Amino acid sequence: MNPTLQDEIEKQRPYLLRIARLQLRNEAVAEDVVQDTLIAALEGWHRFAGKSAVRTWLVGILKHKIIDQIRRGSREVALVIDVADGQEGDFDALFDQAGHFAEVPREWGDPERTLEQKRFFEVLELCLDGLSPNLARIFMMREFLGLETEEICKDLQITPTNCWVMLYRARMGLRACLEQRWFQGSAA
Amino acid sequence: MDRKAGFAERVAVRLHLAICESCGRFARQMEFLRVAIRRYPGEDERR
Repeated sequence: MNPTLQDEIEKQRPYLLRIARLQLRNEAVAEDVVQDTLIAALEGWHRFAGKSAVRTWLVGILKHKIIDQIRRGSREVALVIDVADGQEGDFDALFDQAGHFAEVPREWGDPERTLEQKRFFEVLELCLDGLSPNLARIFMMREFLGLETEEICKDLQITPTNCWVMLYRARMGLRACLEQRWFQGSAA
Repeated sequence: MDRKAGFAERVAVRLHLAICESCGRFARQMEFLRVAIRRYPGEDERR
């Protein structure tokens, strides 16, 4: 076994752990899933063949393993809604009496140009960390893992309405954070 | 974004987006967010 390869994959562990923790809230399970991912990567290295960046490839494997965990229902504990998840009327200030936007939202421009910048993903991660654990988790299940809301509701044992409200709050929270930390400097 | 909308609903939404500048921008922001998180964590420099 090539030691350099092992080192290179091992270097990604902390990164993968951060992602796994966002999804699996249980430290031990997150560590196991990451460990399984690294092992699978070493075993499947011949299939990788440098088709993409190492990290991207590893995250792909990790995603599948996280989804497997979720589908196995191995998280018996249902989501407990927390006051940190937000309140009714949290984002009301953004809208006027008639329900229109109080301020015209900014143009964020072409995603491709922004996403080329490594720093953007650091800011995005900061914003994800700023969400309550439940909101971050549900948002990532929907957008990062690509699960359908029906499956999410079932896994977390919450109603569809709760699901949609939480997704809304997560998106609004991320939007506000990105506006402040990234887009603030650019022209509207 | 999170559930299938019926045909009439989709038409209504599209019509609204066509005339409401703010909503159009907001929708694009949400789409941006979706694209960004799917690309997360972004490319590693080393290949």
